[in-house]
Amino acid sequence: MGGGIWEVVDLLSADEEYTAYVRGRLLWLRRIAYSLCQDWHRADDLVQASITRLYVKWRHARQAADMDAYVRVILVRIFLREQQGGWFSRTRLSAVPPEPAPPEAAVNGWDADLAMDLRRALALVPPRQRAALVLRFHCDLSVEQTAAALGCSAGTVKSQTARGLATLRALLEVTPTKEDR
Amino acid sequence: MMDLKPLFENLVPDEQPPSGVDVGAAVRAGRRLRRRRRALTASVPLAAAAVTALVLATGSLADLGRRDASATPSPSAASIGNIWSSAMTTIPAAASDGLAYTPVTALSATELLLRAGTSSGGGGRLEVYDTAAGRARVLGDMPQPDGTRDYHPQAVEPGPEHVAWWAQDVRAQRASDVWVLPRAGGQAALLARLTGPAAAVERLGVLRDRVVWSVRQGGLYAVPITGGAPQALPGTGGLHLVSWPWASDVRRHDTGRNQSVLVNLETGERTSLPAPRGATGMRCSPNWCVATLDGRTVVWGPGGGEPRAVRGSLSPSSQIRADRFIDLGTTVHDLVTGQDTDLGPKTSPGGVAWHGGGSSSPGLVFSRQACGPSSCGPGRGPDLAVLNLAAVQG
Repeated sequence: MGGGIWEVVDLLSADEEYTAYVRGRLLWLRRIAYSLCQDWHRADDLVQASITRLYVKWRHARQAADMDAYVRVILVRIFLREQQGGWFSRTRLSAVPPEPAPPEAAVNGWDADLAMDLRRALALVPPRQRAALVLRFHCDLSVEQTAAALGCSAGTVKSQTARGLATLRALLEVTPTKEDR
Repeated sequence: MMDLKPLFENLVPDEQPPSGVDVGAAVRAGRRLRRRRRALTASVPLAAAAVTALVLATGSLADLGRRDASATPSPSAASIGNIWSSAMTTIPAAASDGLAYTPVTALSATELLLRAGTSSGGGGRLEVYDTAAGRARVLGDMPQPDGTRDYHPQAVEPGPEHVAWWAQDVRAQRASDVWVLPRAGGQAALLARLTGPAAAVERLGVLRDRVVWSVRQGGLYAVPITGGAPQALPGTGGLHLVSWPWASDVRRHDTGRNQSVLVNLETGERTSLPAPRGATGMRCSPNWCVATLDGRTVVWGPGGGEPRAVRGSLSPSSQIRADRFIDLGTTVHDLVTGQDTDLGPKTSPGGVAWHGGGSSSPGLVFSRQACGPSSCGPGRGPDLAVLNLAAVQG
């Protein structure tokens, strides 16, 4: 099969271009948003706010060398800003602590239960550490790319990542690996 | 000792409630914000200075985009379609009433089982899309019981006469509902309301006369398709359903262990599966085994033969599908013909993440959003490009 069905039509106006871009990226944005907040309703709100912001900045965004990176920055910064005192943080305070992983799950490396526990535990990791973990390990960004997205230094990303992993390990009651250090 | 990092690959569950994001609303809100900003800029010059200061303080978003230009390049959007063209098809991303489609699995070479989702996240309905005729047929609604708020179907499984799924209210701990719907269409019936150990459903099998399922700690239960009390199936302790009638002694994601037995639950036949020395994550279907050996992915027939290396890597979500295909991270490999095809990264900076279907047993579809000549244009969103493994030739 050729590239026919994948070829994006040549769009005429900025609004149409924006709409085509956003529709094509919604799934991806939603996954990142969910990985940050672990709640589909909040993820949708986060994506909604991000694409609204993107619309406002669209003329600028179109000139970015990597538009995906541009919109990811918008999303991460809105997430962090809302965590600073918005309803995200108020809700997080009432979150149910994760149940300790059962002994068998702790022994078995790959485990659906553990993945579920990870999601619950991640919701209890402080927002900046959580964002660093998600960008590094879920979005597969380098330390430098993560630093650019978070607006901080590479050293800060490294320390936030290490603290985040340590917090997760404590919550999940699993032992560290040398890769964490 | 456990490395947590690979777990982040599964941070987002495959089963997702339909999106509540409204692109049109974002455009309207964005326009209002732009107008407000222009008015502020025109009437209060200091406000513009404040905006400039904010940008300086937070850094230029465009510059960040440029600094991040070395991010993983977006996969070629055409890569998925280069091989097995007979299995590639494009379907609408939404039903005529606007509900978004999520492919569940393939029922045949030309029939796709779809879930049409509601914007509220729960419920929805099941449809069958005929790719030859280009039209969908509604099977029935997926009910949401009164009083539930975050009630989500978990995975759907087609059987010879019924389609079944289990659903959970995220606020109700350790409780699951099993639903059935006639495959010919009709009204869904709540077959069982499960609590206790039987509620930890991991996979369903649908037979003519009953629905069976295995639970996370192992062991199978069954309930008659006409309803009744769930019963534990004797002699199934420690077994995990893969796809009826096949069961294994390892959980799906537990790739730290090699599968050591394959059980046919209809005949009771148990096949022992010796793993090659050094093999990890070994999984076997009736005619094929796959494992990681010396850092490479290898496949072989359990009857004998030298393991042969194939492209791609086993991941916790890899599954042998229909005793013929294995998904290996970014590729799908055909064990019979030895051919493979690219899916692209599941989570991609390019935003072309694919979906591996929403069936309980290893599914036969992969899908992702795609733009074509008649989609992604004014007033039209993207279509869904679907790889239907039931339609692969050869």
